[in-house]
Amino acid sequence: VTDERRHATTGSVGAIAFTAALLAGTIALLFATGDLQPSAAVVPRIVAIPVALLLCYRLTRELLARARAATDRAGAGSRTAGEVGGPAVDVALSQSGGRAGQGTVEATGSRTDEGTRGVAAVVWLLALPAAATALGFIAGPAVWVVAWLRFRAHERLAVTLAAGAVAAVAIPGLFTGLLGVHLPTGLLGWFI
Amino acid sequence: LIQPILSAAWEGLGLVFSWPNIMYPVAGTVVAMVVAVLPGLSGAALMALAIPLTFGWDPLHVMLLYGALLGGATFMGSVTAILLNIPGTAPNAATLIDGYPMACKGQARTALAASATASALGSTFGVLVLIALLPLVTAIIPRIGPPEYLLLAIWGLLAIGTIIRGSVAKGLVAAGLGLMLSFIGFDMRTADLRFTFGTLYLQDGLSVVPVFLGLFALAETIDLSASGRATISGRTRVEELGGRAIDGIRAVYRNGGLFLRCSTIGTVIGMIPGLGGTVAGFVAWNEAARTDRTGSVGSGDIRGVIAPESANDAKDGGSLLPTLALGIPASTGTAVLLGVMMIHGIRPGQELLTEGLPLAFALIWALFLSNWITSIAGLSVVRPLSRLTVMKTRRLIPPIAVLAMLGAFAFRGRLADVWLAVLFGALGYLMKKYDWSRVAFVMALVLGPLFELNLQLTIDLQRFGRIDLWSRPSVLILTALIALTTIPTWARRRP
Repeated sequence: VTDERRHATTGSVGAIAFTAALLAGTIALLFATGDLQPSAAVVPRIVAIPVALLLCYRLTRELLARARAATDRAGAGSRTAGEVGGPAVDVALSQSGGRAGQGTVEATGSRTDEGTRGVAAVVWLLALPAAATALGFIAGPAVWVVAWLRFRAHERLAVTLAAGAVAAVAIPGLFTGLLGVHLPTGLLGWFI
Repeated sequence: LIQPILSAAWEGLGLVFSWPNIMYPVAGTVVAMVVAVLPGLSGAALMALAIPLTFGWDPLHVMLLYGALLGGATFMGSVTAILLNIPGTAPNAATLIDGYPMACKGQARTALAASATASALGSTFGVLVLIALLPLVTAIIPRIGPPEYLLLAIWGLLAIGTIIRGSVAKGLVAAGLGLMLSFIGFDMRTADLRFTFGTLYLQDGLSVVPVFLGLFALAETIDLSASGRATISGRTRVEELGGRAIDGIRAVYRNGGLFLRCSTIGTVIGMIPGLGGTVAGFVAWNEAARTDRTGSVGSGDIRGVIAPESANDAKDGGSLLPTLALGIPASTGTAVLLGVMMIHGIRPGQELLTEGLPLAFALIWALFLSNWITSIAGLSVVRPLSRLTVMKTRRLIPPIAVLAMLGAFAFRGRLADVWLAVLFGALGYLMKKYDWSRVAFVMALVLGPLFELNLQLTIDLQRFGRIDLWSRPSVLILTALIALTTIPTWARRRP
């Protein structure tokens, strides 16, 4: 089972929101072609219109899958505990290629946890360029490494500080010393 | 015709393997290997950085160094692609599609060994074709024009049908979005600014390096963090890893047909200016997927590693053909090489292919040597490198994220590229989570500019009577090839 398929969650809130966001982005690009000369706009329009239609189709399928799963769950309420969720899972499986373990609407607690951890990871990643912008490209990543290892990975303080020191030495050594890449200072002016 | 070429080849070989000349390709290879592991820094960037070093050097030494720099980066970029889902150089992006899932299954050693073997043999294939075609190439290359480029781009775009897994609609949307984003920036025909929304940064279009680093490397760090996986391979000790290096080497020989087809694809694409290694890698990977009857290519199949790696290295030989014979650079790397040759008074074309032929062969042998050195060095460190796949992910994420961020910055020196990489990291994670093909997206992103520019040029040339599209044999041959290879694929697909 590939990672791409392992994650398939047809009909989930996330899948619907993501498809809707892609559709909104495509429509925004389609509208942006309105200001262009006809010859510059023709190819983007030829691409964007079918993409928008396909996204509408996918969004409809996602919404239908969710509605069906909700109906099936409601219908399953009167059955025995062993049967609960069977039809809902069937719907999800029919939408996602027939593999087990690809349940519908954030079916399990672990999937909800995964979503929360995913959001947290994105926030942590955003902190990396933010640290580099504020503290420069040497101190920023080093501080970020220390923070990650200490607060996210819960590593021992000695390991954390050693990793931060390695980052602070390796980054300028490799990029500036060896390759001649100019690493800018941060807004706070540290580490020229 | 053949005798002078063979004697020049022999003379060039002697020049490379004499002391102290041998030091130049060896040193160049070592530096290229280190740089290729750092994402965002391509062999071309290193070649540009080395230009000031070579002022005052003997032209022979310059050719030896640059031959090594051109070839040394290709294989090592696949090491990070396989182990960490980070394409060391853009052409290695196709390798991670199957290479990384193999590492996740604990078969990193097999994948690395297959990659090293395919690289070494692929480069040999490319160099042999280069030597064989050198006398003929001056007649062929000038006949390739916008219609042929257009058909090659269409071939690549239609090949997306092979790589889509699951919903065809989702795959087509992903490709369409990739195409749309490739239109960002100046329209090359009308100079209209498209989809820049008033920002200066987007005027040059999206750079593929931060996009690749975000979609694959940073998306992977988010996924590793979100999934809570302890290690990439799911094993905690190196002894638990399956797959042996020897299996990877044998796999290349067992898939000899695929290797030859993909090396040919790489060499031909390498010859055509403007296509480059990234296109070669994806087209070759598509060939592996197209001929796969088990449906396993794309989810950790050794053939998905052999195909792009053989094409990537074979294209180096191919790319030297138009560069040396016509002075037309076929890639960024050969463009820098051409500039360096000009600086040192080496003029490509008739002069280089007659009086300067031993010098040209010194370059070719240096390229060949560097490809073998990197592959042999790679094979020798397969075991220690595979340890990365049993490292705790919480310790692995910081170096991946920092390297990806610095790689995104180092490519053009723009802070905005770093933010772009993070943005595409989040997008890549969501695409992975909700099963939208990232490969279709990047293929379309890479091929988009080639497709649009040559579509417009072909239409104009046809309209003004400068070409007769259907009287060109190359157009007919390419159209037939596209029909033969893509119609059966699309016919098999369900909506």
